[in-house]
This record gives sequence, structure tokens and C-alpha cells, in this order.
Amino acid sequence: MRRTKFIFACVLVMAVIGTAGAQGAGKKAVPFKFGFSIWGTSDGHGRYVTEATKWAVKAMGGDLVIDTGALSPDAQITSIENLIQAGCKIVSFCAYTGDACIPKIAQLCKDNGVYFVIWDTDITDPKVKQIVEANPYYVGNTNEDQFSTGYDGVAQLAKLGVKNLVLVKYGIGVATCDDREKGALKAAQEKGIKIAYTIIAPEDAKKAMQDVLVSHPEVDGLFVLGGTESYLSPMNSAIAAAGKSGKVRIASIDFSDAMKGMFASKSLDLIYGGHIVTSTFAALMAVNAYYKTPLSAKPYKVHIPYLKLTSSAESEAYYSLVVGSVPPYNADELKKFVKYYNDGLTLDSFQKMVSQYSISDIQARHR
Amino acid sequence: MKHSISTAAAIGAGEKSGGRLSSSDILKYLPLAGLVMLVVFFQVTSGGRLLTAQNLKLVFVQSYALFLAAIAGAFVIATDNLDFSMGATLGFASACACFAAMVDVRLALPVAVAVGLVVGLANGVAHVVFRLPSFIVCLCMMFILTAATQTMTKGTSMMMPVSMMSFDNTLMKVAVFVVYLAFMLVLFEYTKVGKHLKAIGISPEAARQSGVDIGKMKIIAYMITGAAAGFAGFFTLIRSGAASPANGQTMTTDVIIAIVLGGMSISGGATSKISAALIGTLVITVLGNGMVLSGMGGDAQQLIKGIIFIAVVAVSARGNTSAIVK
Repeated sequence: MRRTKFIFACVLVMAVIGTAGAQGAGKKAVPFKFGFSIWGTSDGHGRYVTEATKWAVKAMGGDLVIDTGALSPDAQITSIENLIQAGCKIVSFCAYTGDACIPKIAQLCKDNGVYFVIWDTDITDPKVKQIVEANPYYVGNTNEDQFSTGYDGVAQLAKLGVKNLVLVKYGIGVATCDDREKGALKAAQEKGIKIAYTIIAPEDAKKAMQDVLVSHPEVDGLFVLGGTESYLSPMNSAIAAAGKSGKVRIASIDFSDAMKGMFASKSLDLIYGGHIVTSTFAALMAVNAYYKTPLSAKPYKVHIPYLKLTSSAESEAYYSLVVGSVPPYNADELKKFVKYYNDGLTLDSFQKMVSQYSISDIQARHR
Repeated sequence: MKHSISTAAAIGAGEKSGGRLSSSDILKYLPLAGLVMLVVFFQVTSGGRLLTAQNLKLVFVQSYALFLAAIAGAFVIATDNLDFSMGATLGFASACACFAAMVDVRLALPVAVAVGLVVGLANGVAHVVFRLPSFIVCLCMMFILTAATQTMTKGTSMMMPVSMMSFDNTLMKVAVFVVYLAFMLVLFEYTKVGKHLKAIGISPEAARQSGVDIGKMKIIAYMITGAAAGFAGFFTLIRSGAASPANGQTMTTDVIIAIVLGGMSISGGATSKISAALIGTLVITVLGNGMVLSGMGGDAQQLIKGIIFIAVVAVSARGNTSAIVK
């Protein structure tokens, strides 16, 4: 009898443990409206980032509400107002128009009890940061490591034998571009690469490159620090027209539709981008807060890795596995990023899983 | 002359139709009917969220700067000219106001309006005194002001003093708007300024022969739009809390779209009316707000905006053919 009781107790304990372990799988999604504010969906990045947010919200059982047209601080605020008015309990935006309007957005969210998260940007103004981080509804932000990407780009070009490099900046006083440049300059100094010329936000990219090739015939490397969609293809055609294809090694940051053809013709050596999951993970950070299972008591930042493509095969993998018909993460994989479904989740493990985002990681999971 | 011909034609048409609505009457009320249809449509598709008190307040505050700018824009458009620098003036004035507020918050409004007034005066003088085409003058001014704003804000957004956030008060905005609208309405409909501006839009030569000082009137029109852009710049600043090179970027086109959507001919003249700016502004704002409340996707939002704007402008242009041809 005693033995029977013991076995029964053991079974009961195991059942309880088993239930706890399988808690995530059995839990029902709590419906919510998720507001997504973006500048537009007609460009590649805007379109893919919106799609990438849809994966997360859909997997969590939420309903995505989109507002396009957040092109100025005023429009950004209008966008958030509309999303809150539409009944959204979480809003997500890119501080594309700068930091200064974020305190107003933070106040709107606080007044309406709405969680908010920022993707693809950092708050750089310390005054704004202090105001926003004091807001209980601010979850945090996602961003990429621009300095390291700039550094790595030049380091990779150095390995390819580049000695005289042309840098292309897409703006002056743009924090993202400046950080990438700082990284590039540090690597150039360390690797003994000479910056032959820096082209800044050219209106006619082809002409600008032609001029540089004439004035600096020693140039053997090109690193586009952003604005790739506008610059890469015209600059490559200037290089080809000068008969220097393959002699001038090319690297770039931010994906462009031109990269597929350029990898095929072997005129592109390296490109960083594909960080469309920046909004996916921002959404999941906010969902954790909405479910009252925040990953941190304070606002936090999650680093999103860039995808690094170096060949035609990797480029094809990107188009089929990342922005193809099947998202790089399925619903079950996305649920692992939410504590409500994954009890053991911590901020560290969240960041660790995010850091694994790469073409090889996606290929492994899709097998 | 054209005014009297079209008036006579309209009267004749009214007599012929025996008191029934003529096609010109229908076209006249089309923008308002369009606005009403839009409101009904989004009220249904948003599940009744559109016409709540809270959302109506939102629509008002969201359209505020455009209301101010579009009403003033009607003054220049009435003369058959466009002020392409309005958006850039707004951005520049808000940046100047932000700097002024850092010295003393009470300086922000007067500085914004004064900057706008000076820009408008410069536009008017360059066009009238130096006989430069208004289109070129305003376009150049737009480039100059955009560059100046970029330089002032270092290409990013600049936060206004936190104490100014309390200025963003809806009740105060309502009061200011009522006074502003009444003033502009009287100026446009019941004073020499408004009548002369419309006369210039109908026929500059006829206006000149009737004793209208065309140069002076045009300068006044540009000063009005400039000052209003500065005024709108101040309200944009206190709403967003930021001076930014992006402020006002779409304002110029929004003003023109609002005025055309509201049923006013882009070539100005006798049919010019302040109500067009009001209706058009509401159409733009309700459209943006309603689509989000109805949960329409990003691509659908841009597609619908484009289709509605083209449809309304096409219908309005057809109705105003006689006014457009000069």
C-alpha cells in the first residue's frame, strides 16, 4: 500500500513538473492590437520590416495595425495618435525623424497605458533618453552595431588586398553613418589602408565615381556606408565602364536589389544588411512587457546582427529564406522569445538567440 | 469680365433648370459631399471609432498646422500663383522659434511669425520688384530655407525647452483658430485685399486697369502666406516638441492638395474661397486617420490616398475648366 502511495505521489509530481515544462506549448494567445508606425512600405526596407513585424504579431495571436507616412516629427506623432485611437495596446516605431519627438510620444503612451518600443534606432540625446527611460511604458529599443560593421567592412577589404579606398557617406551629421565611418576609419588606420577619397551624398553617383576614378587612378576599393539602393549600382557601372571590374573590390552596408546581379557578375565582394528582424524582435520585446513578463525592470537594448553576404549562393539564400514566402522564423521559434510561452527566458538568453540570426542559422533551422 | 460671364451663365443655367440643381451646383458641393461620404465610410469601417469625441479632437489637432497654412495659401493661389516655399518656411520658422525659446520661451511665437513675414516679403519683393517668376523665386527660397534649417538643426531634430510642452493645449488652439479663421475670412471675403487678389487671379490686366496695385497686392499675399507658415511652424514645434529639417517637408504639396480637394481652382480667381482650404484639409486628415482606424494595410493606405486624390482632382478640374484656361 505504502509502495502504491509512493508510486502515485511520484506520478503526481512528475505530472506537475511535466505540465510546468509544457506550459508554453499549451498556453493560449491573448489577443491584442499592435500598432506599427513606419515611413512607408513602397521601399524595400519598409516593405520587409513591415512583413517581419507581421510574423511576430501573427505568431503571438495579435492583430497588426499599420500607419504609413511617419516622415516628420509631427507626422510621427499623428501616426502614434492614430494607432492608439485604433485601440492598439502596443506601439512600435523607428525614430527615423530624430529623437526630439519621442518625449511627446512617450507621454501619449503613458496617458493611454500603451507599451512602446523603438526599432532600428538609439536615443542619442541624453535629455530625451532620461525623459523616455523614466516612462514605465517604454520597453526599450533594437539597433545594430554600426561601428563594428564599418570596421569589419574595411578589415574584409584589407584581406582582399585593398590599399586605396573610396568611402561613400550618405549624409553629414547622421549618427548611423558617422558611426559606420568611425569604424571604417579605425580599421583603415590599423590595416594601413589609405582613404583616397570620401564621396558625400552624391546626387549623381555614377558621375561622382567616374570623377574619383579619373582623379585617383590608384583606387582599388570602394566601401558604401549606406544609401546602397541609390549608389551601388551606378558606381559599379562607372567602375565597369573604366574597365576596373574586379580590380576595384566593393563592399557595402544595407542591402540593395542590385546585389543579386552584382554577386552573379562577381563585381560585389561583400554586403551587410538584412536586419529586417529589427522590428520582429522589438515587437517580441514589447509583447513580453504586455504579458506582464518583462525581460528587465528597466528599458533595455537588443543588438541586432547584420547578415553578411559574400557570394551569389548566400544572396540567393537570403532571397529565398529571409524575404521569401516562408519567414526565417516559424511561430514556434518566435514563441521562444516570449516568456509567457518560454518560462526560462531571460534578457541574456533573448539576446543570445537574437545574435544567432545569420544565413547559416536560418539554413540550419529550415533544413 | 470672365467673372461676369460665368456668373451670367450660371444664372442662366439656374433659370433653365427651373430651380433644380445644375451641374455647376453639383460640382460646387462635390468636395463637401465627398468629405461627408468619407466620414460615413470610415465611421462604418472603423466600427464607430471615427466620430467619437476623442477622435474628433485628434482630427482637429492633427490638421491644425495644415488648416493655418492652407487658409493662407488660398490668398496666393487666388492670384494664380503658388508659394512653393511654405513648407520650408514652416520648417525654418520652427527652427528659429526653437532657438528663440532657448533664450526665452515667450519669444518663440513672435520670432516664428516674424521670420515667416520676412520670408514672405522677400518672396514678394523678388517677384514684383525684380520681376522674377514667382515659381522660381519660391523654389529658390525653398532651397535656401531648407539648407538653413539643415544647418541650424545639424541635420537632425532639436528638442524645444520642456516647459513649452504646456503650450500644446487644445482649448487654446480652438480659441486661436476661431480668431484666425474669422480674421482671414473677413480679410479674404469682405475687404479690398481679398477682392483685389481674386481680381488679379481672374485677369491681371483687367485688375490693373481697374486701379488695383498688382505689385503691392502680390507682396501682401506672400507676406500673408509667409506669416501663416511661421504661425503654423510655431504650432508644429509645440505639438511635436521638435525643430527638424523634416518639419513642413510635405506642407507645400499638402496645402495645394487641400485647396484643390476643397474645390478651389489652382488658377485662383473669383471661385477662390476659404472654405476650400477647410474642406480639403479635413479630407486629407480624415483619410489618414480613418484608414488607420479601419485597420487598412500599408500598401492599401498609399493606394487609396492616390486614387482618391486623383479622382477628386479630376472631377474638380473638369468642373473648373473655364477658370483654369486663361
